[in-house]
Order: sequence, then structure tokens, then C-alpha cells
Amino acid sequence: MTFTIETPAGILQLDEKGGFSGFTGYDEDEAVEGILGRWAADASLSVEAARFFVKGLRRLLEEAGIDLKAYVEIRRRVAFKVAERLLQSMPGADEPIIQAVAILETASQTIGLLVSRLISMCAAYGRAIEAGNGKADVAELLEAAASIPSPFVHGLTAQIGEMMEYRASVESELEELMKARAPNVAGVLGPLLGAKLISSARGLEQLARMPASRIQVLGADRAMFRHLRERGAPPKHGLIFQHPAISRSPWWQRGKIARSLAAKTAIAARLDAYSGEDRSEELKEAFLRRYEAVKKTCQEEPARMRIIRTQKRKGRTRRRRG
Amino acid sequence: MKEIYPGVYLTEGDRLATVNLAPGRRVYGERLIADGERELREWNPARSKLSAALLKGLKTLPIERKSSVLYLGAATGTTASHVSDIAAEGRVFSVESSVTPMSKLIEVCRDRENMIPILADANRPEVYAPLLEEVDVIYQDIAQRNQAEILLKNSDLYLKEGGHILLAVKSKSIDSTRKAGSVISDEVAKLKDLFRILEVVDLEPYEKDHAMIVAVKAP
Repeated sequence: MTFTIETPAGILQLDEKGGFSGFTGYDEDEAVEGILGRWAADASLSVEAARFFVKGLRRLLEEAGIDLKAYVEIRRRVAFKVAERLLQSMPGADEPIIQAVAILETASQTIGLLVSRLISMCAAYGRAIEAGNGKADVAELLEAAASIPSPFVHGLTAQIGEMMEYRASVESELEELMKARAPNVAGVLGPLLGAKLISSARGLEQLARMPASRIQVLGADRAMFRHLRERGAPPKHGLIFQHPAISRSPWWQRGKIARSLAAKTAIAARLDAYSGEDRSEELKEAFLRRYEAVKKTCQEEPARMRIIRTQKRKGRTRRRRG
Repeated sequence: MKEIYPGVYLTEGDRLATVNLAPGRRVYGERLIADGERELREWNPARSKLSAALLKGLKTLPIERKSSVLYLGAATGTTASHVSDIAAEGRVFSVESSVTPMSKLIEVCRDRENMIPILADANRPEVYAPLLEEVDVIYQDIAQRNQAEILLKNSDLYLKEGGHILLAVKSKSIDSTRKAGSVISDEVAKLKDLFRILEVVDLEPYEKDHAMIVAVKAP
């Protein structure tokens, strides 16, 4: 067994007892490549090789004909380059997801603004076009506007069309990213909603560390703090509300479904952050079982509950620390 | 200005300070104090566990002017920069595994010629062997449950015989349900095979449920 070690100054060969057996010098950029090549788990130096190298460093450098002082300087420069390279290649892990969610939001706002301008502009030409919210509605709108012979209208429709295409491309990029980074969260919530939760938690690991109860109300900060600070019912759901299982269910089922979905999301996030194993199918099924059960057992609309307070509380007397 | 440990001074306001190796530069907003030719940096015990340990009366500070130090869990360099001030003619290999603090740490290292940044996981010390050498001291502040194991692995590879360790233990990150004292004595027990324990200092009131363990690698 012999050892090859990529050092900051060159490639060092050691024999089976850790003795010097050869050295080939290289420049600092090659050193960075060589050292980084070993950084990955499956290619790393053995503990044995590392020990031989560290314990015998002075002697080995001498035999390789490298000046110790020069070596120390090269090593420091190479260490900086290695760290810089790693910083670039490990972009705050979830930063792209967080940024992509922000881009989607900006794009949607932009489209909304441009659409409202388009409607006004069409009206200025005496043509009322109907406004809608969904993507299909906007497409209809653009079509209706196309018949108006105005450069203003055409300019606007072109911009809106382009922005919509752009938004769609960011969405599909984000879906890919989510499937790679967080397959379980993407599976349980859908990639886009999953990305919004990760973004709201400021990262997958942060999401993984949250209890399900926190995940359930993530994005409902105002309602949550209103509940904690003053009177007001606790929010049943935050961002998670956007999931069709909740938003398309009647109000009295939503809390139960939200709790279950948040619980599965918490498990999914932990799988993604710490194990990587894709068990999204299993989680989705478990959620659907609960979903069906709620649908079955809670069909009747209950009477709206009124919270009866025996004591009239003033706004801020119940302030808790949040 | 009294030198109470090698390279560590007590200011008139009874605060600790080290001689700034990068004059004019601050690392975490600390106060800079002119002292004749040199400039001192105040060393805040609320921000740095080593400073807290010294104020709590740690007897031995094994880091000296020419020491070579492996610093595990350097974070953004708050304590590591003071270690770099003390070991002015030595070296501080600063290992940090997270990206965000490393981007700050790398800038701190740039200003200080004795600091070497290493972005790596201290759980696998063999990985950074090409950038390292045998060291006189290992300072570790990593809030992980297996912190003793991390320290043992690193000491095995990198610490000279007779070299010292400084281990900041946070009992809450090992077991949050048990009493701090019993967690810390368990950690001490784990080190006994390889080390002779010199001191264990409780960091109260600067840090709750924290202790600093100083030990020497005994052959």
C-alpha cells in the first residue's frame, strides 16, 4: 500500500511505511484542484495517509527539496483559494430557492401592475376588457387587447406576454431545483408551495428544525402575533393554505387538514435535510388517508362557534413574549 | 496596562484585551485602545467563551506567542482573532464548516497573516491534512453532541505529545434534559484516556450551562 497526497506544493508519494518515495511539483491552481479533488467523501485521504503526512511533514518536505518557509506561504495562499472555491460551489445551499421564490413574487406583481395599466389603456380607446386573476384570464385579456390598433396597447401586451413566459421558465427551473434539493417537501406540498415554505423558513435546514405547529402557521405571522398579543383566534394555516387540500375544503375542515399537512411537511423537511431518502409517496399517502378521513367524518357544517369571554379583556393586557 | 497571561492584558476598566495584529481593524465591533506604539482590542467575555474563562480565573492559558493552534468551530472569527493576536508569531488553522460564517471568517483571515481559513467538517479531520501541520494547541468550540469524539479524532491526528486542548462545552447541545454539571463531567470522562485534565471552569454568568475544559495530551 503506497500513498499519494496532493499537497499545496506538489504531489507527494509515500511508501507503505510513510517514507518518502517521490515528489512532483505543481503550481497553486493545480494544488487547489488536487486538494479539492480529495475533499469529496469517497476520494478523501485515509486517516493513515493523513497521519504519515502530518507527523512526517518536516522530513518529507526536506526530502522533496522544499523550503519550509516557502511552503508555509504557499500553503496559506492555497488554503484561501480552496476556501474561496468551496464558498462559490456551496452557495448558501438554499439561496437559489429563496431567490427564485422572490423572483416569482416580483414577476407576479409586475404582471399585475402591467395588466392594470393595459386595462386602463384599453378603456382609453373605448374598449372595456374584463379583468381576471388567473393565468388563463390574463391570456384572454391579451387576446382581446390584440385587436386594438394602438402602439401603447401592443407594447404592453408584448411586455406582459414576455413576463409571463419568464415567470413560467423560473417556475420550471424552481421545480427542478426542488426535486433535487427537497424531493420529499416537493412531493408532499408540490414544488412551488414547498419552495415558498423553505423560503419563508430561510432554508431547508431551518424548516427541518421547526415543529409542525410552526410550519402550519408559517407565513401567517400577523395573525399569529395578533393571537399572541391581543385577543384573536390562533391562525389555522399560513402559506400552507395555498395547498388545494386546504383552500378547496370548507372552513370547518381546514384546521384539521392543515395540521396533518404540516405534520407530514415537517417529516418531509427532516428527510430532505438530514437523510436525502425520497419517501414522498409514503408521506403523501399518509396525508391523503387523513384527508379522506376528515372529509368523511366532518361533512356537516357545525354552528359557528362564538368565543364567549367572561371577562372583558383590554387589548394588550394579555401580552406574551413571542 | 497589566499583562495577566502572555499576550493578554487587563485594561484600566478591568477588561481583557489583546494586541491587535491588524491595527485599525475591528472584527466584531470591539473597542480599540491605543497604548503607545501598539493598539489593543478589547476582548468581550459576552461574545467569547475564552475571554469568559479567563475572567473566571482560568489558570493556564496554553496559547503562547509562537503557538501553532488548530481552531475548530471558528465561526466568524470573534475568538479566533484574539487567539491570532496572542499567537502573533504562530499559526491559527481556523476550521469552520458553514458557508455563511466562513465568508466573514475568510476576510478576518486575510487581515491576519497567521490565520489560515479551512472550510471543512471537523468530523473528518483527515480531509484537511494537506493544509495542516502538527499543532501545540487545539481550541474547540463546536456545539455538537459528539464534540468529544471530534476533539479526540483531531487530537489523534494533529496534536503534539504534551500539547494542550481547550474545549468549550455547551451541555445543552449534548443533552438538554440533564443537569449541566453531570453532562460536563461525562464529557470530561470521555477525554481521560488521551488527556490529563488540568482545569474545568464554569462560564457562568457570561454563558449559561457552559464550561471550558483545559487538558494536556499525556503520552
